[in-house]
Amino acid sequence: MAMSEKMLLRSTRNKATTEPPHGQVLLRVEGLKKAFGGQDVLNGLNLELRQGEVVLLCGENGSGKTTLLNILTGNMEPDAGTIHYTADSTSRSYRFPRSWWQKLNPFDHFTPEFVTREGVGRTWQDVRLFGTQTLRDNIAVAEPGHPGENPVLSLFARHLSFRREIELNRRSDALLTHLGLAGRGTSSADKISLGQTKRVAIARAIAAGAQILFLDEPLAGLDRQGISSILELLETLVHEQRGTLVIVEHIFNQLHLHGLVTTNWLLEDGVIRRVERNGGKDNSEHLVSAESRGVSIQRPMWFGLLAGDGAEVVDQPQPRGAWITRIRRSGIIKIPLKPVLEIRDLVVRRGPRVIIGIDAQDNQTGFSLIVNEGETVILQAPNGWGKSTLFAALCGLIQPVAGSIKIGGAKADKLSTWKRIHLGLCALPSDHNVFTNLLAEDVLRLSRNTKAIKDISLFAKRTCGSLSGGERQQVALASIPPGLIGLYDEPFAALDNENVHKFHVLGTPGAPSAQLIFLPSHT
Amino acid sequence: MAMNYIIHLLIYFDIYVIVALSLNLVVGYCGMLTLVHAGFYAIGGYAYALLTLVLGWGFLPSLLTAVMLAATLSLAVSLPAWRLKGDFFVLATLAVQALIFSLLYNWSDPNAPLGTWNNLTNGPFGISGIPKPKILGFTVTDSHSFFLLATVLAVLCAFIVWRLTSSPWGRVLVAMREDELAARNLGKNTRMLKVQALAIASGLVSVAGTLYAAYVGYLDPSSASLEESILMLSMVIVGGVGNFRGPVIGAIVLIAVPELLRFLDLPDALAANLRLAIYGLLLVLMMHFRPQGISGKYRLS
Repeated sequence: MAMSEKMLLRSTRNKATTEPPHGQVLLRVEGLKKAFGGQDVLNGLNLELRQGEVVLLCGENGSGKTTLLNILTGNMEPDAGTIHYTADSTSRSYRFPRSWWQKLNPFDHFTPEFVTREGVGRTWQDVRLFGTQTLRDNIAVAEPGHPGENPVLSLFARHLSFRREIELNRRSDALLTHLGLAGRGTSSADKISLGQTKRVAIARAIAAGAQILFLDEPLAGLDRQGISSILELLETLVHEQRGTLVIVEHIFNQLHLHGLVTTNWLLEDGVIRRVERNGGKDNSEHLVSAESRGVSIQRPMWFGLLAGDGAEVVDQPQPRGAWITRIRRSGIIKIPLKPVLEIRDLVVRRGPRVIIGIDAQDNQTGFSLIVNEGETVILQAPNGWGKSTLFAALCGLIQPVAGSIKIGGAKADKLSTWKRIHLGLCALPSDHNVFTNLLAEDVLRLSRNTKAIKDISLFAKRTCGSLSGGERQQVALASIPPGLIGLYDEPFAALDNENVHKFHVLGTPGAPSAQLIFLPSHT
Repeated sequence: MAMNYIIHLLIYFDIYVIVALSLNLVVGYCGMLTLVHAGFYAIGGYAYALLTLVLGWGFLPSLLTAVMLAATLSLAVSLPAWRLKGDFFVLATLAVQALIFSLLYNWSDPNAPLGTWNNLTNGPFGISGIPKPKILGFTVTDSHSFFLLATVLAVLCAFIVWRLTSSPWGRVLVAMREDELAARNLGKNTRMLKVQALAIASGLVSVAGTLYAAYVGYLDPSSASLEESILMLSMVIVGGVGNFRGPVIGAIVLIAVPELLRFLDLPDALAANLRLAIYGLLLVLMMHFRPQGISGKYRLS
């Protein structure tokens, strides 16, 4: 999209949110405290949320954004404080710590199901649709207070829920049509793209009666098209239904939300600092500051980090909307070129479908890519292109049906994963990349990378499971031993600005000889 | 003669269909692997045996009492399921299964008459001479009428399972199986769901136990054994879970296999062991080549 069109789009967005929201208070929190292992994460936090507000919850990695989200949605109990839910006509307050008799009362638990009935909904970064259910059922199941969910009634008094079911199916189908999924009501939820699942997840939470919607990284892992479709949905929610949103979003994607957000909550030292925003002014400032750092729409934030100054950058288009960007920095690139990873005519299937190695017309052409020593190669592709499949094939988790893979000149396509690692492959998957029950420092010891322990000294003694998403990603990055070729699937996910610099750029100690980075496309 | 043999097989088929469909409710729809199903099957059988033999009750009141008893005792499994998931839930069901088996095995005293507090179950000797079903003054004695009774009950149970699984309740059950946390965040009380599903499944399987006790006329603790539970699980795993067809196919296969072996004319001792070996082989092959079962909708993980 041209720049001017973007500006136009942004300015129309801003106009709609210039009036400050003065709605009724939906949620009030006083003196919220939560500590993990003696370390305070939330420390006497107060906040107030009004109808129609769109809040962007910001904070550094490990500042407790996810913890706060989990507490406010009933998924985690705080140590102390009071939470008042006033969205419903019947307001409800929870005071912590809870006494033993409150814990015994089955009608007064602080659990997700009770908090949801107070009009609070949430989505997850990893979406969590009900995979084998149809899309229609995924939305219909959210219906609150359905008489048919009582087994006795659905056995003996089916007529009570019969009409409601017809109406519910009609409404679910209408909602799916609105989400651009017309006629897909009977396809199962694990057969649609990531962007579509995220939209269905938002619709599902709304169908469950959510008046306050907590969104955990709604734009994560999405390509540009996916992002704009989510933004469109959120805009309808905010402008037409006066929905109230609280959004946690990764720093790279926050830019997209600026037209929508009315309030910033900055989580710092366990308390929230509230920043009212006045529409477009702040937005333009952000853009300018972003561009002055050498970051533009076409070259996102990580680019400056990887390229530095005086690098030769080559973009190569690939079939089906993917781009390969080669960065060759003088002083680091070795001349003559020495390939460390050679992929030739690779064809990979998942089930009956060919995923890697086809062109836009579905002809089987094979996928080829050569990464040379001292090169950083970035593969940007839209969701559903097959990045994870290619990643798995390179790691030896899926057997390709044709083509060859060479690592450091040695033929690797029949080798098991560990043998490829011995050849010099270092791979960082996008998730499940640390051992959740090990201490962070033990993860590094396990990967024989003890030198890196000092990089994560702040949380080296904690188990990976107790770390925040950003901290976990830092451990995962630090655990990559220096090798021949580093393979990274979305390495910047969950990292904030400051910690992106912990990525081992080529030429720095601990970095591999070459890098292949997989990212969702943003251009 | 051949006719009687087929009727005999069909009665067993009726009983196993009830077992498989009810177990599918827990394993297939809730995604909770349970090893205690044979325990509730035996509880149904014992309740019927004692109520008819000792108290002289008719078939229907004994059946209803057995269903109520099994459904109530299912709390022993569904309450732990509030907190335990996956392998730990399987272990908890194994514990309850061992408890039921040892109660049936040990609640006996050779000096006390059967059915008294000191000798409730007659221990390892089992209960023999269980009366044939008496319904509204009519006694079902020949196998043809028993087949009719068993079929009516099997169809009724199948109807209940079908109606429940195709209802909004079944839909929430599947949602809970797919992602319990997401279901709770939509406001679904999954604890209550587990209690309901296990109570209904246990109540239904006790109907099968009642039919078995009434048909064979003899019951011992081996009907609550772990092997019996595993046989039941093989039925739903071989047939496939998560839909209506799978368990029925599983019941047919697991009845047909030992009967086919019978025609090979093997010595009895060998045939019994071979049967177990074949169940094991079937399970391993299924798990490897077709984890979703012959006709399953959902893959057990």
